[in-house]
Amino acid sequence: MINGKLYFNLIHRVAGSRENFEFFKLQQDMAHAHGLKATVITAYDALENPNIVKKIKEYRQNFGDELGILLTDIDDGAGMLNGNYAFWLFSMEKKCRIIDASVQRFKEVFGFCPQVMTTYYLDAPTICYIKSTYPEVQAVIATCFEEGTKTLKGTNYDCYLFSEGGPWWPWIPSKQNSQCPAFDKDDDSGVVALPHLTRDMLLSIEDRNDYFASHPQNMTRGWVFDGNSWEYMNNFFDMTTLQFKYNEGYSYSNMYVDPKWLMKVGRHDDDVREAIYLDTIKYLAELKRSDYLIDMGVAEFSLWFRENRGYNKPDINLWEDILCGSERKIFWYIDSYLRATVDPNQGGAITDLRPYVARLERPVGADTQYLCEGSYPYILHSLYRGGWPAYMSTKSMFTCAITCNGRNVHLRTCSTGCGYEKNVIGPSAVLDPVDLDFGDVQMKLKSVITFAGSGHIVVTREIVACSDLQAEIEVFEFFNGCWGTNEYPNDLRKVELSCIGEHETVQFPVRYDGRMVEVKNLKEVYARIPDVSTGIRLTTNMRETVGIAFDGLMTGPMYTIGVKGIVKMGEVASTCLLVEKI
Amino acid sequence: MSSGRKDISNWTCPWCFARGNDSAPLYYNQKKDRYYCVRCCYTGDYNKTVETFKDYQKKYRLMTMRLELLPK
Repeated sequence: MINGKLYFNLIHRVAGSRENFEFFKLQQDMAHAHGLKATVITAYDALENPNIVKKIKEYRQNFGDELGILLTDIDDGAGMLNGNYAFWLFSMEKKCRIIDASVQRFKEVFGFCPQVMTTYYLDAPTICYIKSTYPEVQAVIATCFEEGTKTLKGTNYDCYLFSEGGPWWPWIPSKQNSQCPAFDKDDDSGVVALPHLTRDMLLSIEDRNDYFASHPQNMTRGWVFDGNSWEYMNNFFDMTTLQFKYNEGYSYSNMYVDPKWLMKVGRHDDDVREAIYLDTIKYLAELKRSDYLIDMGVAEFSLWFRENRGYNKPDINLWEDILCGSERKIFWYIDSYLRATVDPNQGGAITDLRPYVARLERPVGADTQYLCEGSYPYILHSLYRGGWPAYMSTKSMFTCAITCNGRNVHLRTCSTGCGYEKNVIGPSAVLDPVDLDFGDVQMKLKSVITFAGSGHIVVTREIVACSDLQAEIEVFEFFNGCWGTNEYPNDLRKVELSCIGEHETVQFPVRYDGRMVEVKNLKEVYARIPDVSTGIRLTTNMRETVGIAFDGLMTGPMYTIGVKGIVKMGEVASTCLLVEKI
Repeated sequence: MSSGRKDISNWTCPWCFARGNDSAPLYYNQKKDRYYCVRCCYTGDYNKTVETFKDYQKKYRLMTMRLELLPK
């Protein structure tokens, strides 16, 4: 009995050129021959070609394929677009003109409004325009998960698509920021958003992730094949499917491959491009026959999603290394309030945190403040911010140091495994206990990171075995914070830090002076980050608490807030991190 | 230009590729009968280029291994 499913969208796009059309038909034939539903996306120029239109109508009639439209240049760069082609980078006025012209032509050709629109990035104002003007639209391809800084470098500084910080699976986008899952009906922009492709969630943090995605020819582009062996592709879909274990039986992927990727273009993978696409189609069909996969049209899926997933239902991803043999895992959590990455390889540190609760309005395009920068800001990021010297010699992360008998261990140096549990307050990343050696005292320490909803993250540390049952340890939970959307440091001087104790309160702004404050009998420590309308609040249940606030340095541009306390075996150190809107 | 040269002018530079950049083209230097990258100092012919990519592939230790992750 299989108690979970991979919900799957196969999407085929056709443009107006003869060669593109030929390979599109090949993709369609593969899908239909193996019993998979496809959604056909038409580019504007394809609508001008009677042969293509006729064929699409046949697909719709004979196989029930859904139809949608690609939002892109509509005049081959010759008119108002002046050579631009990336839809998301146009001004709002031009975006609306493209949408209107595309829908009008689509209606003339097919007699109805498309229910699906796709591009690589859609901001909230554009989605709201689409839904208010064309209420028939049910779904959009809205982002490319974690493509941004690394993809810019990866394309030799040619591709201006910044889409980091968003969901990896479908979501109902907020009216205020399309990357934030909606809280509720009032916040609902009216469509279901899908990511373009799904990704290897471990390799997404290491480097560019387009090679390691539900796109067979991106995989061969990344040399992830040897001759006729491309096992990674099937392993990828298996690992994606397995995510249903953490998501109430639900997992998701889509495959959206432009026909050009099947053509021979003088690249190293020319000889396998068709073969790997066919093999992948066959494997997906096999998953369907094995009752693991349900294929749907995109609009069909969006209706299912609204009914079965809806608002503010967390998605979990616990991905294992299936390519490099490291045995490494990574844990991701997302809801309407935040997105977090937990890295067991660094002892369960939170290494990337996005404050959706702030609902930052950041439209993209030529007429906006943010231009191409569509990534949703982080408030810590271990790969983008560090320094020397940095506080506790670490990167930007939320982590812990343990002290016993004057010896100190950083949990970020304790690589470990990770499992998933759902406890009474929420879904949890349960880290395998780590061995800590303090010379005359040895112990095993277990960490659990629970996502309690509404922006609360509860971290517990518990000694589960110890050579000295009376030994006390000092637990120091600290948050090396910053903010930004890419790898360059932003100005932190609007950030205010507060240590609030039973008897005193100390508050100061960040000035990169290296100022350190400690307050005993702590009630809470707080960081106010106006640039991203976010507050960070730390509280704890530990004994003999001390609050820490550290100003940061120009050479390590991160502020720190932290809490220290004492625990021993039989006690659980519980610290709550609250991410809130200010 | 040597006869029978394998054309890899549409390939990307293997050293740039190893840094995550797959859009650094290889250009052919006819006088020296070898390819070169304008972004880094890589030079080489077809065989060296393939060998360099193969070196990079050592990172993908499980690349040819079917893991059979789903219960049958």
